[in-house]
Amino acid sequence: MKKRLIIPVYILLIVFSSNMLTAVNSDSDTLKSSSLSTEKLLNLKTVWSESSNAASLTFFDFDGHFGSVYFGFNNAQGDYRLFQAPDQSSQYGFYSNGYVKEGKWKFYGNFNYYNAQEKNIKWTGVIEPYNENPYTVGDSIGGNYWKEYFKMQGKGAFELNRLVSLGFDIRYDAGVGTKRKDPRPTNIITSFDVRPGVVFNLDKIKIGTNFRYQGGKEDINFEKVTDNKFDIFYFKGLGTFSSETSTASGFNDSYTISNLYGGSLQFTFDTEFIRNYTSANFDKKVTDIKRGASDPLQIALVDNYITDINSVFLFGSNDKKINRLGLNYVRQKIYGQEPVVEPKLLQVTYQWSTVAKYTLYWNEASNYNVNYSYYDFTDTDHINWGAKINCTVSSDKTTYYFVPEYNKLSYNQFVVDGLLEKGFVWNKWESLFSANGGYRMSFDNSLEIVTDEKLLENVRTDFINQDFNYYTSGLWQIGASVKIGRQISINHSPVQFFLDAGYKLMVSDLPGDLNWEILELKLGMNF
Amino acid sequence: MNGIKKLAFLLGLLYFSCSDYEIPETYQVAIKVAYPELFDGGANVSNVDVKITNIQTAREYLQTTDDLGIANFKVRGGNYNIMVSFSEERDVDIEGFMFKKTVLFNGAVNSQIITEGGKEFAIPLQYSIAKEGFVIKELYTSGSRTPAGKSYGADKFVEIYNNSDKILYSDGLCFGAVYPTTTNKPTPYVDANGKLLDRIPVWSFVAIVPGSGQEHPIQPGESFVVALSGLNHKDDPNGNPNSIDLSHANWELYVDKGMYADVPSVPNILMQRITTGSAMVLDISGQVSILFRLPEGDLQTIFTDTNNYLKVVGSSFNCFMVHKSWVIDGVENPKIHSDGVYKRLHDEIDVSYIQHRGGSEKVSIKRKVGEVINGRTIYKDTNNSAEDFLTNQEPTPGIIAKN
Repeated sequence: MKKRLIIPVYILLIVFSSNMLTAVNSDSDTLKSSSLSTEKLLNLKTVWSESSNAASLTFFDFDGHFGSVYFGFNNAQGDYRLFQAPDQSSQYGFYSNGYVKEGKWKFYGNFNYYNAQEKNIKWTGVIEPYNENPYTVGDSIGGNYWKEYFKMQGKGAFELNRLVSLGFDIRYDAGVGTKRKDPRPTNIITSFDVRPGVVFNLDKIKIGTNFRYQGGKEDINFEKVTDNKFDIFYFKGLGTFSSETSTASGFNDSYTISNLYGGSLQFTFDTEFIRNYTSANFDKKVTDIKRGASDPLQIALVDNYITDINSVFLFGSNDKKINRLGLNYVRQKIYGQEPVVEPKLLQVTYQWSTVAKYTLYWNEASNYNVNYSYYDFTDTDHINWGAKINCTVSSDKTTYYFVPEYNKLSYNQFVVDGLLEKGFVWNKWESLFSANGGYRMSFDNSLEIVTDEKLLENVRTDFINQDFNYYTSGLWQIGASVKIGRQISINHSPVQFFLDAGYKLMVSDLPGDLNWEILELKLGMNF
Repeated sequence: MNGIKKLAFLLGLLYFSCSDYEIPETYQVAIKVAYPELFDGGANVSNVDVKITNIQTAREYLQTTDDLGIANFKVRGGNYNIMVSFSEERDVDIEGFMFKKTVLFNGAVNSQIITEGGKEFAIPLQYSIAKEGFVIKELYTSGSRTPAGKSYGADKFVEIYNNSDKILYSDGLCFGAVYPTTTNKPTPYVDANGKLLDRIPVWSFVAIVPGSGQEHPIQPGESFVVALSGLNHKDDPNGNPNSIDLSHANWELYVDKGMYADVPSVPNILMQRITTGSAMVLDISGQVSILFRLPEGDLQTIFTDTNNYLKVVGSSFNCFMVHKSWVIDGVENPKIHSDGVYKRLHDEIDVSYIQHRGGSEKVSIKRKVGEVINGRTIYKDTNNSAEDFLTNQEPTPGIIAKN
């Protein structure tokens, strides 16, 4: 009940503070309402919008304050899905974000609360099964999963002097999940992310860097309220598993602890005709997966390396139009190390000691992306029309070693998609229509599964086959959205109420034309 | 600017540090097998199968020894159980007379860590003369499931069979549940070197067939059933239509004021309490069990003698200790667990183990038929349950297989 009270109180605070700020700044020329496209245009016009460096907020072109709050609902359903995914997912929640400039400070923040219900989900007892950690746990009974998340972010930049800007970015996420059918997992996740940064402004050239630390934890507690016995599956990647049957008290608790250390370097240059932003990000994330509360047994240690090189060019841009070219390369490597353990009697109980580790899970993925956007503006806050085209080539190779035998899945994808937007403004009304579509094809795909019968006893081939089909099928996608806004005045300050409705359909070329459709609705206000 | 260069260097180092990973390789491991000193002066054993099992993955590797008694394996790094089991017809000197007997050679080394190549293991073989006596013919502890899907655990039983060609008396025969049942961890009942003690801990209750010595004869090729509850579980209104009929059991494991009601038509076996509980523990996931006879003496003296009990560090109970020489038969029936299996019984009692799939699955482990002579079934008994038993069987109390 307390959680539900937080949201209306929060909305009142936002509206109240919005009006307070309006009152304080009422003499200022900077007072203006935000629109359906304000935030998008702000990001399009700023080469730093791709940056993870909070100090770069200094270079975002806004004054005063603006933001939005809305209630959102989305529903996704279909049979084109991954093995550990639900066949229907609905989510509703409260979302908000805002920008504020106060003197030499610029701030950005968001707060989101949402509930999700995932129906007919099987083989997973972790809250986010496809989060690049293949060592998941699940049961064959399945059921409906309820999830609840709180996510918040606070980002600030301080222009110390003309040469140096400092920034911080702090994020905190918390979530709980549960399935109300035996064996019923309860998940509690928390994540804390901090990114201090600095940017040196050398006039035409800017150089920035930021550090990143993220700590996360997921506790998984399996319970049962009936006296029935269940099998639980500990997955290791590519359908490989070990299993056990519940005892009278259920199953051992599991938990994962992750630590990510990373950093980024950024470089920009400005000329009269072209502006460029280039960054290189490096992250290393280590996830330790253990099972058992009193005598924890290490299940795996997953190392994840991500390199992200990004470049953005703005050219021929002015107050009326923008040309934006983006180039992006991401390379990711994931290694799942499984330990050899030795039981050691310590005082009164056995504790597991890791004596060696072997890297049995290997994943390597690369992604190359080129995108180009052109937008024509009605004014500084409204889009007349715009278009974006996106081309991506990616490859992914995953191997799970039984030593020397292995399962191996590899695929390559080429994706092209586009977006067309058209805006209208009349009196205090505003609308924005968009249509998008795309096609994904895959090539040079292969799936190798061990043939040894004994090894196959510990491989769910339906798991690996379904996921392989998911990644390698041809895929059409088409979608449209409409946003309508109406500006009104509250206490002499302009506020825009809006409604946003969108629909997206993905149709694969798998037998039966398996598809996945998403409906989204948002109702809220921009201030 | 210097700081940025250093940071770039550190980030680069971080990135390239991912090249430390190696594709896992297999390691060469040699297992040497030799007879006990009493047989052929401890000569090498050639042409016998050696099985090694990865504890975590349950993957098994099988190789045959060469002329030097060595079996060579290539395995990945891990924790392994290594096992040899075979039998030979040998002339055995018994009280000055030579008899041709089947000698069982069993040996195992368990929980061995292999993380490098070139390792050699020697298997110390134990030997025993194949017995012709009582054996555990069937063990059913999984329980069943009701039509509503609920677990039903009252229908468990053990069936004991006269595997000899002589009348045997079951008077005084004891059945015990070996502690601890969490077989995914090592037992704390080990010596300073981690070897199993010569005495086996049992807990819960010891079930003892009553009688003065010759009150309960069991004919050759016949068996008796000891039920947890001697009910016709299948038809009784309080039972489970998916279950079995145990109303013809010879004994029931009735505990006074315990979990299950006394069924008057089935006699109660003597239940000597060892630890707390309202019923005999027969774990649904698997129960390591032994059949044994107590040494001469009255029961009260034996069960009140504190020397016969032991609670070691790491144990929750003061267990009754059964010397391995008292054991007539035993079966290692551990639970299936992703952490692996740690053995409870000595090699000469059961060198391997047999598991059944999950609890409430209505499955038993049953001894394989070795041969049938003149209509009398002789069950396979090589003290190697992996070879001697069938698993995940439909429970059939009192039915003797003929093939």
